[in-house]
Amino acid sequence: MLLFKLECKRLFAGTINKLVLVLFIVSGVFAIYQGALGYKSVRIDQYKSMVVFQKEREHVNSRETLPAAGSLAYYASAPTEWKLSPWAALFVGETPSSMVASKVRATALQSQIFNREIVNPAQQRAGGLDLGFVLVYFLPLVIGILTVTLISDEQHAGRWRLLNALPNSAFRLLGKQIALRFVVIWLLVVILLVSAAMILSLPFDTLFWIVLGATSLYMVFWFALATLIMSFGKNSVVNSLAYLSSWVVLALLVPGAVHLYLSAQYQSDAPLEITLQQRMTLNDGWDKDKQATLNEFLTHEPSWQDTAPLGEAFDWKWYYAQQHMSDLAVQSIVEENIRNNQARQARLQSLSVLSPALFFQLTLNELANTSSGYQLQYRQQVAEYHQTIRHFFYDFLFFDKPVTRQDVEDFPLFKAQAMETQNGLWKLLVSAVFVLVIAALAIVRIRKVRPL
Amino acid sequence: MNNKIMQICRHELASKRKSPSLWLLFVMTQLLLAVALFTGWQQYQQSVQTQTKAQEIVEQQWNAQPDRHPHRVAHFGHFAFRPPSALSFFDLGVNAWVGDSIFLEAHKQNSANFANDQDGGTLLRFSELSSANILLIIWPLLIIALGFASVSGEQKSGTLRQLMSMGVSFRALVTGKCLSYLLLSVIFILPVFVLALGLAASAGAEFSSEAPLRLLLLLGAYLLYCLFWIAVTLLVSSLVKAPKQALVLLTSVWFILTILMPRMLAEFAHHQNPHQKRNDFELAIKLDNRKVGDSHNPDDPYFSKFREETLKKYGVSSIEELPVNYKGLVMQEGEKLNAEIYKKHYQQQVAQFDAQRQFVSQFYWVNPYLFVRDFSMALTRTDTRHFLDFEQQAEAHRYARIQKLNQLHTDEIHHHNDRAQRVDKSYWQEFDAFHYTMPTLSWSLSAFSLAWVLPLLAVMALYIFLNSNGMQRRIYAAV
Repeated sequence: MLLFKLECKRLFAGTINKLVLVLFIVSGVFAIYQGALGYKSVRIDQYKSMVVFQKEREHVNSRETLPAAGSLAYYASAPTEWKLSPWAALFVGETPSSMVASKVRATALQSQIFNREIVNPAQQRAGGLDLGFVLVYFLPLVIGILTVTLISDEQHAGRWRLLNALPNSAFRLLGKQIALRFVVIWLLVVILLVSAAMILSLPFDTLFWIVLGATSLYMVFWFALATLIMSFGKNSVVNSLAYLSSWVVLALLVPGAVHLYLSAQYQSDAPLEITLQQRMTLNDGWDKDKQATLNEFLTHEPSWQDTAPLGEAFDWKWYYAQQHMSDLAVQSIVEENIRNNQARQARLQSLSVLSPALFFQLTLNELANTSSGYQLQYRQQVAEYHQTIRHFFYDFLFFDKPVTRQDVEDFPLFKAQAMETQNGLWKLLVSAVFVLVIAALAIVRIRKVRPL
Repeated sequence: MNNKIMQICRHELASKRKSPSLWLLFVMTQLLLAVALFTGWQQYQQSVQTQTKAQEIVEQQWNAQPDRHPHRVAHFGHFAFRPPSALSFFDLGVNAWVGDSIFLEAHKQNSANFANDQDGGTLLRFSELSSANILLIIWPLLIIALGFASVSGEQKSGTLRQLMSMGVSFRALVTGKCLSYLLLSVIFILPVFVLALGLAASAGAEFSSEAPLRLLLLLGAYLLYCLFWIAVTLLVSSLVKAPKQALVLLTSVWFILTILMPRMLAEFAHHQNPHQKRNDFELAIKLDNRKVGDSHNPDDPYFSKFREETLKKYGVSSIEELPVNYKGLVMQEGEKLNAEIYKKHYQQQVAQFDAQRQFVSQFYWVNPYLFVRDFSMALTRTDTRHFLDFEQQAEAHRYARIQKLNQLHTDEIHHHNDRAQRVDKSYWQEFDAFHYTMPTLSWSLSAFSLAWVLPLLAVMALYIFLNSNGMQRRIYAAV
């Protein structure tokens, strides 16, 4: 007990140790606060879009005569939402720069789907500070500063030689010191996570324990790395530099290199091609035989093939038929693009094993449903909803069914489906094995360290 | 005195030369810089090619149009592509987060689309591995590694006492060491600038007489940045007795200045001066447009008044008697109103972005990292301001193009049976291609005006403090 008190005193005696711990807590609290604000604005955006749409609908229904189906469909921009877990406040992933409540209407889908959120790019360039950042990138540095010079400090104080003279006591003392640091930092992390959970009213469910478990595992990795570096028995300066270099490589350079590789390997102008080609198709459509376009459309949508032939005047049904045909004209590029994105995702997943920081960051974003994989899923849901909207209007357009107020009320709303979650448990297990192997190696090596 | 400084400088260089791990770090970082420059260059060329080709395609598509009604052409629209700036291979700036192309059409202002920020939330937490980023984030770490023990190490090993007793003043010691690190910094960063100059020159058409000047200013900014870190390193090394503690303290300072503070400030600036999200922005414009008037509604008060005024102006009593096509006039008026409303809201957004930038710029003197980062982006034309400039040029082009079409509508299409008529395709050749005019150096730097003075003074103050009598006394007392 006496030893424990002494060790605690030693840990909190150094000005720098205290400074680092305080800084860690401050940035953690700041990140949670910012995250809560950001998540609130996301929810407001989603909610407001819904309210605005309801208002528009009431406005339409309050008019004396309802507009024609074609004109109604043209102005009916319906809201959708990227269903996020509240954890998105802590691990923001792709949400700051992409639409979380994009609107969609029955005209060509591909000209609506590439809309971006308005961001101040300078803020993105600065990098963003969510709790994920604090845990993935800051936490390892805290661990390093508190740990990596332990042996050399003992040596410096002249105790190491003394301790080594006694059987096993050097190792035991070191173990206790590391354990103490682990517990202190772990408690800080728990405090941050619990207070975040309180502020954001996150449930203490499996997800909470997975996040905590993954974070603990990540901590074990960096502690093991620090121990491993110490086991080479070099002086504290070399140890610090080695640890810092590992951090720079794992946190900065590997993700940067992976980004360069993925950008080069999966570089694609597909969105641009899609836009350019669709524009030409839509435009040329006006000069083509309209009945031919409609007929071709009906082969793709046979449920409406009993529609009457076109007359001389402009007909909305031709308009929507050709809008859809322009989507079909770029279908192959769209699918190619989706495949390309999926391949990119898969490659990112496999490359993320190169760096625990990258792997952990990706895992956190996945857990919060904010990774680019979920972004693609959301886009897919918008595409499916677009089809629902189209089909809703087709009855009115192709069978000349008059729109009633009840129909306006019955307009199908976007139902956010639960995102397909990949079962990440085995990944966690595999990484646990990996981390434990490194930890074991570190322990074996550190036992052999003898005084210089 | 000078002789002693040179001797200390030479000695410091010689001792660094002997350290194999420093050599390794030095070489690795050089390699990293070379790779970053090379990939940046490849991306730049690829981007130039894509944008130029796409711009050519849309210009061809425009010119190849058959006889058409001008308003249909207005809906056919056009594209503006953003060519990357000539030095963007050195500093990618905000390029990853902004779009490269804008669809220009009637009645509607679109934003730039197709940014290259896939997986940005996972992979771009520290921005890209560009040369500028490496110089900004990694090079300071190397300076710290070179110099953290420069004074504290001498103190610890007792050589400081010997030096002092030999009559070497602390000032000479610090100046000599500073000189040696500066020399190393120059050796380190010069190759990348020479290479950048060579690459920029080989870019040919995009290379203007301004590029060498911009590179020179960049070099100056990064040298100032090196000087700042050398001063901080020497200062901490002099004030903290144990080299180990100096290292930890310097690393913490580095983390706060280059990683924590920029992020916190950016988030803070955003909350102080929030800009609108896409949905809010578009809704506000839509509501304002509704308020002004609906050009398609014959009973709309605004356009009824407009009709009255037009009839009065031409001295006729009905729109059929007008010498021009009234529908074309309505189109022009509608586009004008719509563009004004958009501009009002857009300017508000720009003002908020600018307020965010200015908020961050208040801290330039505390944290030169922020200053050099922003200055470098401005010099390479890759900051937010330059992107917004592109958006505004594209909007001006859109407005001119659509109004020219509306003028054709007014003059060349008769009011009766408007929709069935077409104008001759030769008219399409009279439209100028979109050409983005790169801002000049003075525009690029106009946001800074005197903002560079304070960081410069701050660095100078560090050196003055380092050479002050108080500092010298402190060291002598400690030895």
